[in-house]
Amino acid sequence: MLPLSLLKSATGCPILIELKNGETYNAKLHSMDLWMNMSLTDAVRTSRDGNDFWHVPQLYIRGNTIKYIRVPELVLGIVEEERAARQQRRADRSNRSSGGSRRSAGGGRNRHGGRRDRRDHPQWQ
Amino acid sequence: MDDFMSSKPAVQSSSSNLSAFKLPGAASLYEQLDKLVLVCLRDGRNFFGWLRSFDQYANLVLDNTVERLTVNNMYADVPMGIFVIRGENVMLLGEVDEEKELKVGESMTQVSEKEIRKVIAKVNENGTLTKAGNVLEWPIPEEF
Repeated sequence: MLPLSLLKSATGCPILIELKNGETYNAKLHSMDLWMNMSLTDAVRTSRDGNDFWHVPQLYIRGNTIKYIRVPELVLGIVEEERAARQQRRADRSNRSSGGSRRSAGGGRNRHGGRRDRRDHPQWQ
Repeated sequence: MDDFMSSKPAVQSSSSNLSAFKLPGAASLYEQLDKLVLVCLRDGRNFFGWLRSFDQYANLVLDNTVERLTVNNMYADVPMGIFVIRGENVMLLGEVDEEKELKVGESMTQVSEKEIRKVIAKVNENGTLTKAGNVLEWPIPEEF
């Protein structure tokens, strides 16, 4: 599992981030992107010397300022679940394409709102 | 006895999506996967951990990580769990020779984190702790 994928799986979990300036942030990861930019909630910011503390309800950290991130052990469990789910979906898809008819596969796609038509646009309702 | 060494993670990294980095005959972090490595950061910190993953920027995922604080001939290991280290902060990464690691007690004494932080605090009053963890005395002797 790639490092960024691991972090993506950790969304919703509490993590600890240390920045290059030595400050640490204990917070819940809300979201992140390819550049490791993160938005966090309910953060506790600790100064470099460990003497000062702030509570920051919402926080955005630019990825290039991060030194490292500590992630709770339970994220490994989440990663395993996602991997199992992905393999399951892959197995299902291969079963469906080899066993089932094309129509049923097409029907499945449309049911999930696959292709959107001009006629579906609100303007045309 | 080293806790982190004997606690090799039960789940091995699935190298399937990292095999893109595997180039026969080329040196890469692929060989270091699921091995105990020492990572030295640019800020002078040392971490031991099992390398589970990496990417093209050398961002690392370490499992069962331990930070080793060293002063003179004392050391303390602080367990830190799972680490994701941003690649640009890594100075070096090296595989740990497990035999030599077991013999570390011969030359150094292990102490608790609390004790070593006390020593570091005391040392910082009297002198400066260099990044290597050795005491640099103040005033600096003339030969330097």
